[in-house]
Amino acid sequence: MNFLPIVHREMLAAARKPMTYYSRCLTGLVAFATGLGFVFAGYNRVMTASSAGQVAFGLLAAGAYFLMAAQGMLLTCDCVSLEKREGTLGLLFLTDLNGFDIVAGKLAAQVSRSLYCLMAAFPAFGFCILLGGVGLGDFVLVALGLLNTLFFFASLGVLISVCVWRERTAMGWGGLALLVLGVLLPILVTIPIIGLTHASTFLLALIPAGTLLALTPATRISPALSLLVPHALGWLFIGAASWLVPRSWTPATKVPPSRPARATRQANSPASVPTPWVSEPANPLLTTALLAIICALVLAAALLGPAWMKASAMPATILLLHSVLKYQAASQAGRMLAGKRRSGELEMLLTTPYDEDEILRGCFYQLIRSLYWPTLFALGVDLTLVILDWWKDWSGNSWGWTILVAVEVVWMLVNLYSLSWVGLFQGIKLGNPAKAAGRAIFLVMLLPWVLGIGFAGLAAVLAPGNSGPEVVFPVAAIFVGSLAFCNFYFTGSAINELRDGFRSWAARS
Amino acid sequence: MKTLLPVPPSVDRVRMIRRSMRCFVFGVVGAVPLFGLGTAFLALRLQRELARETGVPARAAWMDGSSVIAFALMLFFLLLDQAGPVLALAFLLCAVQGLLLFRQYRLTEPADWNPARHLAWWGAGLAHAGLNLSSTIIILGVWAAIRNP
Repeated sequence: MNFLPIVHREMLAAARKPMTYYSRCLTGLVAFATGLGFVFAGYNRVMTASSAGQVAFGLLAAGAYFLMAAQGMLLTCDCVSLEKREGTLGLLFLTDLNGFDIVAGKLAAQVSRSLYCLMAAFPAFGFCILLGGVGLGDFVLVALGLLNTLFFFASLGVLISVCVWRERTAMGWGGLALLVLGVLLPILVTIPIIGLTHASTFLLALIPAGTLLALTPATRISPALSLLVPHALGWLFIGAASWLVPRSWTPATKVPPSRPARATRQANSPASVPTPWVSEPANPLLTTALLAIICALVLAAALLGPAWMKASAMPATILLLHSVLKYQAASQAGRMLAGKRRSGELEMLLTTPYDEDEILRGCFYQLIRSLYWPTLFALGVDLTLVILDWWKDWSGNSWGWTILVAVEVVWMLVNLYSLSWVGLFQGIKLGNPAKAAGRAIFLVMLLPWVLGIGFAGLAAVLAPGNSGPEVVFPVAAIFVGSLAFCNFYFTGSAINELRDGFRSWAARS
Repeated sequence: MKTLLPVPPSVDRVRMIRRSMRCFVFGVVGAVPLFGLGTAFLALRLQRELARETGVPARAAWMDGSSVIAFALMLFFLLLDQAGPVLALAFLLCAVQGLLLFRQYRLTEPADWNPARHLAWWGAGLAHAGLNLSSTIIILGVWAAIRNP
């Protein structure tokens, strides 16, 4: 139990952060509101009580799964690499701590907040048992599955963090692992392809989503197996990380040399913009390749999968591509100033003739450069899908779909702009790229949905059983308002803070 | 009659002008009902901070008082199932608040010269209008939902 001093120290640090308490309250509140909304729906005969229970249970479980997977991965994927960059990891090895102590301490400290959030959300699952359609066994299985999800992704995040040095690489690998193991694989393995059933079962047993999917009648996997295998994999990741951590902290392998092409690109940037000082540009080819892989996977699912996958292939492609772009924008904006602030480089930059406007311009120049081609690729795919839909049906029925895609494209561009500003501000404020990206995504993309669901629940309480336009219109208006509010308010706030208080934020240690 | 205020501590004039221009931009976006709620709040906050920095008293009582009276009257009309007067009251409130802001702009002169001062006031006026219209739309929406259960 030598890792306990590290856990103790990290817990004390976490206990002083208001977000530890706010996130717990917010998660409990959202889960409670969702559960209560379905209780009202069940008792007011909007739907049968048992189906309301099942739908609420499924929604809560899916939401908690994605939250745990994302938090587990994003909070841990830069925890050890940060210590390596700051040179503090080597100091830990001067004490009698070994690799396992450090990895276990970091893991326990990073997942504590997510664990609190999960504990706060569990009572809401009780509403579903009250409504019916869900048994106590299902509840226990989902609870264990969610804990297992957090453990699996956090262990994988720590392993990634041990293997890399740069925050961008850590975030990139973490995001990719989350996308593949947390989202794409659970979707793909549920496709009932003839002859691949055993392969699907095998893959399901490897990922923590298998426990939740074991509750659905379509999958034929043992719940115990789906719990044990990912859990064992999690311990395997921890073992590998513990073995690697004493071997990977030496500065000899610290930073790979920059490529000549990168230096040329930096030299080509406008002289008035301090881009080489601000950050190294991300490689847009990697993002574009990731988008292409997603397109190929969705296309394969549409061709080989059941009818519902064919029908939902187009919206799924567009939403997935746009989500990856938004994640990239938040992650790159978040790391742009965070590391420089922590190391004090930003303060040094401000002693040069560059002022804060030029530094911010430099950041935006880098962001645009790294997201320009991926955005063009995504827009090209959107356009192709719209043309394909028109080609399939010339009768004029495609207008609705075209307008929807256009709205989504405009909204994506607005979101990219908002995420860039909010990510930059959160990066300089928090000094941690992963936290900055997570906070930006929460404020700009997730909070409006939380508000929208809250208002919809309120409408269900105020006007039970009514789904006419007099209820739907105000709820939709408030939802649109909350989407716009979160985007514009937090963007404006970030612009204000960055333009007015850049020097004071940069000088904070 | 114009009242000359005491000289405040030195202000970064470039920053002040930029903030005034930003306040106007936020106000223009904030004037769009529902969509501009967030930026309307930011415009008002900027305008009040600017007023405080340049030594202009906020005098928010008239603005806040007129809003409270108007929204109380709106609720009264909604209790009587009258939606028309609510809309009329919203437009009247916008006009009254616009006049109040204009009067305040004319009667107070900041001790520290700000060439973009008018932009900050325009931003505040537009933000007030946007907030009033958004609030009215939300109130009418909630009223419609409660009225037709």
